[in-house]
Order: sequence, then C-alpha cells, then structure tokens
Amino acid sequence: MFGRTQRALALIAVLSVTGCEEGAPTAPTSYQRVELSVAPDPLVAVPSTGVTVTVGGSTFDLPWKTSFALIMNLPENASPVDIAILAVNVQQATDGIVVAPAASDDERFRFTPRPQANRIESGGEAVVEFDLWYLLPNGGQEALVTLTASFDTPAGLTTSTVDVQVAP
Amino acid sequence: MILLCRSAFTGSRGRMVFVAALALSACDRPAFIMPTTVASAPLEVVAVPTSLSATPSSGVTYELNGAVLEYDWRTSFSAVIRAPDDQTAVAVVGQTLVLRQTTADIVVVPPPGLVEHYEFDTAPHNNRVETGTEMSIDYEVWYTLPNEGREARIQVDLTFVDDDAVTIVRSVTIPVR
Repeated sequence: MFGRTQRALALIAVLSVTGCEEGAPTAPTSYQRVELSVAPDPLVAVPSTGVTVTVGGSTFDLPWKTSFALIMNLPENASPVDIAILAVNVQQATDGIVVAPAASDDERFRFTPRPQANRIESGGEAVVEFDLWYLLPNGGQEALVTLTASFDTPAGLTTSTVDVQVAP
Repeated sequence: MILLCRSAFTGSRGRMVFVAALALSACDRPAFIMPTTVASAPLEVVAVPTSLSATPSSGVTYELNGAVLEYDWRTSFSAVIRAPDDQTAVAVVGQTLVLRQTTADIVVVPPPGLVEHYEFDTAPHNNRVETGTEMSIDYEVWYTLPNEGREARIQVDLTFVDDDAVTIVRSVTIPVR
C-alpha cells in the first residue's frame, strides 16, 4: 500500500514524536498535597489575662486563648517535604458565619507555634502545637481560625490550608 | 519549508512529510525560549558562617509610631562570592537582605499589623569578582522579631552582570539560631 519512501517518512514521523517523550519512561516523582487537620475540632477558647499585642502604637489585651494541634499528613507515595512557612489568621464569626468587622476595627491576635521538626517523610506526619490569644471586634469568642502551611518540595513551594471554628 | 515539501510531495506522502516536519520542530521548542539569566553559570555564593548566632544588641535603634526602640538582637556574617576558572568576571550590581522570624527553621508569618524590624550594614570588599578569584561582602544585622524571639532566617539576594552583559542572580539563606 505504501512505497519505500512513504514508509521511511512514516518511520521518521513516529520516531520524531516518540523522541520528544524522552522523560516519559522515567517514573514521575509525586508531589501530592500535604493534608492538614486540626485537633480538637472545633476549638474551645478560655478567658485569658496578661497577654497583649501592640499594633500601630496601641496595645490591646487579648482576652481569649485557645490551644490546638495542627496535624500534617503526607501520603505514602509523595516525596518528603520541609515545612517552610506557617501562617495563622483569625476572623470573628457568629453562628458559624464570618462577620467582617468595620475597616478600622480588625481582629487582634498573637500565637506561638511549637514545631518538633520541620520535615515530613513519605507517609509520615508532623504535629505543630499552637497557643493562640485573640481579641475580636465584637468582643465575643466565636471565630474562624485559618491555618496555612507551605512546604518545600523538589517541585517548588506548595501550600495547604485548613479552617477550624472556635466554638461560641 | 513546509510549503516546499508540499510542492515536492503530494497526497499521503506530502502529509507524512508535513507530520515529520511538525514532529521534529516540536522537539525544538525549548530552543526558542530566551533565558534572562544563565542558570548553569558556575558563580557560587556561600555564607560564612553557614549558621549564625545572635547576641543581645544595644545602642542601635529604630522608630515605631513615634517611639524610639532598641533592636533586640545583632548578628554578622559574610557572603563569599566565588568565580571559578570557567566563570566570566562579574560585577556586583545589586543586593537585598530579608529577615524573617522562624521557629524550628520554619518561617512563622507575623499576625496582621506586626512585622520583623531590622536594618543592616553592608561592607563589600570590592564590587567586582575576577575569574578564578573570590570576594566577600560583610554584613551586620540588627533586628527585633514580633514573637520576641531570636530565631530567624536571613536571605541575601545578589545580582551580578558578567563581562558578557549577562545578568546572574544568586541567593543564600542563613539560619539564625
């Protein structure tokens, strides 16, 4: 059906296309997302005294304290990662709904993380305990805490986030 | 090139030439990306020491909301730049230093309204590194952290232009414990 020239051209086409897939035979390294969870869930806040934060020259008492553990799980088939960055945000909430405060009246908080290590092996788990003190514009204790962790992987920085409620 | 092939080969033969040409040219895609830096350039930057200790600081101040405050901590180090024999001579054209608070080597982002306060002095011994030589830049850093701790991470980014007008960027990160 095809002549010699046509078969040769077809062979060139096939070899050229497969030549582009040089990396394909190598098993790809997996960079799966690190799963985050928080214990307890929901959080419980207790009254606090003596802890303050100074923002913009003003000092605020932080009347609520909650403690929790951030648990980070890496799947078995994922490459080991280093915990690079941890961040916390607190938003006031009512009946589970975040209530944005007036622009000039922000939530104030400070926190202390206590990581035991900064590396998670494949299939492994890392736990960072936190103490968090906060003041909400509405004076209440119900809040939404957002925890963000970024990880150094061979493919670059990846980020995971988890939200947890502070019970009213 | 494809038009020439089509004129020389028609029908199924021409289509195969077209596929072969497309397939071969597809392999060349990376060649058309013009790099802005030379990733393979052997220029090397290391920190000496590689891990720092901070000592309590006094006498160096910063201003915050009208108040004059002393920095809590002070540390110093050198960035050593090495241009091996296969590296064209470079000129140092830019440098930045960023300090962030850490806990167990993890950067801990401060809550809103709080930031790391720091300043640094830099003393380059030269602004040029010749081929086969090294040059160092000394740094002295004063800082106060939002978490009132001492542990931090310093990142120095250095920008170079070599004698072939190629821009090279190198970073070095140093833990302060």
